[in-house]
Amino acid sequence: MSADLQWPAAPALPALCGHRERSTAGHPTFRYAKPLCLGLMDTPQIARLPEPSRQLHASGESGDSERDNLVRLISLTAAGDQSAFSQLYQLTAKRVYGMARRVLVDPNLAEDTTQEVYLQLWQSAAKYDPAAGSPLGWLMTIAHRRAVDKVRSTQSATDREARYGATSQVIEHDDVVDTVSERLDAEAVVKCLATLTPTQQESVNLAYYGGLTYREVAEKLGAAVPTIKSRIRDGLLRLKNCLGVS
Amino acid sequence: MNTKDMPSNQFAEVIAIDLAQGRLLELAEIYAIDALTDAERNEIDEFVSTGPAEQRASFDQRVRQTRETLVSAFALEEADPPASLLENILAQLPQVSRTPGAVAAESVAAVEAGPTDELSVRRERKAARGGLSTGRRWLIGAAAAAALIVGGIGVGANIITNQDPGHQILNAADVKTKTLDFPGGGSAKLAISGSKDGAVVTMNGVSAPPAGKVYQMWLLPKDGSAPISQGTMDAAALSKPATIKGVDDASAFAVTVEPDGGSAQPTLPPLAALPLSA
Repeated sequence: MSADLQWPAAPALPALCGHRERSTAGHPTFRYAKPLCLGLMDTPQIARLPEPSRQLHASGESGDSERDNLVRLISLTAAGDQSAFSQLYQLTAKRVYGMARRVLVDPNLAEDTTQEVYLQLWQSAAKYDPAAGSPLGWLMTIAHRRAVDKVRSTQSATDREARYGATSQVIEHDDVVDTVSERLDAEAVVKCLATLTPTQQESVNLAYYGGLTYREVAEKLGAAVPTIKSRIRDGLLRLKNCLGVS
Repeated sequence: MNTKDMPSNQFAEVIAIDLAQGRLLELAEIYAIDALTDAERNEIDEFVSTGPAEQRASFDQRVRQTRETLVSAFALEEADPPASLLENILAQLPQVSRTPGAVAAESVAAVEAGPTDELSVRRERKAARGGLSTGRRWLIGAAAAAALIVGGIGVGANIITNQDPGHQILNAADVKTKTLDFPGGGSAKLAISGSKDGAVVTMNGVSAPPAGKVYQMWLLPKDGSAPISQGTMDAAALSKPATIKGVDDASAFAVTVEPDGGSAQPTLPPLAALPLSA
């Protein structure tokens, strides 16, 4: 019946087919991100790092030392250092998985995506150029791209629209709310997001979280394509300026 | 051109016109947030890479700033991945070739190494649950293969340039395109026509196969019979469209890495695979 039966599948798909040992118990809890995530999955060979500062920098990272640390870990990873790679994972995986969950909703797909992201990281760490952006920016770019590819190949645009069609902001969306509003870090982001017009927020949300193309956003909203392009551009420029990204 | 005060900030309907009218930089945000089709992204990439260096630098900078903005304001949520995920990823690392310049690439032979017992057990458990569809299994297999590409220069021959059926397919009324991303970067675009029972495959930005290897394309028959070779591609052939036949009876299209000249049966895992049924 299914074509894969024709293949000597056993050696082909080693860890990937066996990786879904999860409890069926429930949803992962979403939390607002600290600048970096630490701790929960530490393994013995991995040193704990100090709790990062709570201040949110425009780069999305908590400061030069963390940034430098990530840069260092990426370059060690490029040289084949698995322990550095593990550490990199510990520091960033919640963020990658959190975003993938948000975009894909389905935990299995989010997990697959996360796995692909880190395999790609392992494979192409040598390509990372610190001059071309922050390490987290680089990683999350890879991650968003993969999440969007996956959501487009597995879910119809209609489903995605339905999910992120509301003009509600990121932060009002779900159980992130409480924790987010509590956190000092979030305030700058909340304030800056609020400078976007509702239509700008809506278009950006549909694109980022829904994985919609600008054309799909326009169709969904019954707006002209050039209008939607402008909203996405203007909204993101406004946000960039407000957050002081340079 | 972009430093001008041209009043051309008003977007057009299509990306190509935006580019032609000098609005490349204005597309940076849409590009950075991934609100483009793959074809549009390729269009922009090509435009940037063939344009002047300072234009490229300006575009890259604006894209970078947008990405940092998105990380700061949108990619904020944290959720715990399954505890087993890191372990599973680590188990696959030896199979993943590295970008040249990093370290010596792992031997391709590592791919042939059998799984550990523990993994076999888990896989069987997984299989017993019947979790994955064919397509999904394939796609995951492709992700596992991740690299195999070591960026060498392909040596083989077998260039596929049968343009006539290709034209018919591309001009067919029912032609549809699908994109298959390669884990190592680049993609294959398939223009598929059911009425012509064929597809035109165009590679975009895919690295050359390792020295002594070629890419080989396959169709997996719906009836579960053995995969049917659709020809091979070496480095030179990558830039040319290839025509494949028999898509109507196929459930998936796949690409493997094979020794020069190709193989009678695919070497697993596939580098990339695309379900055709959906």
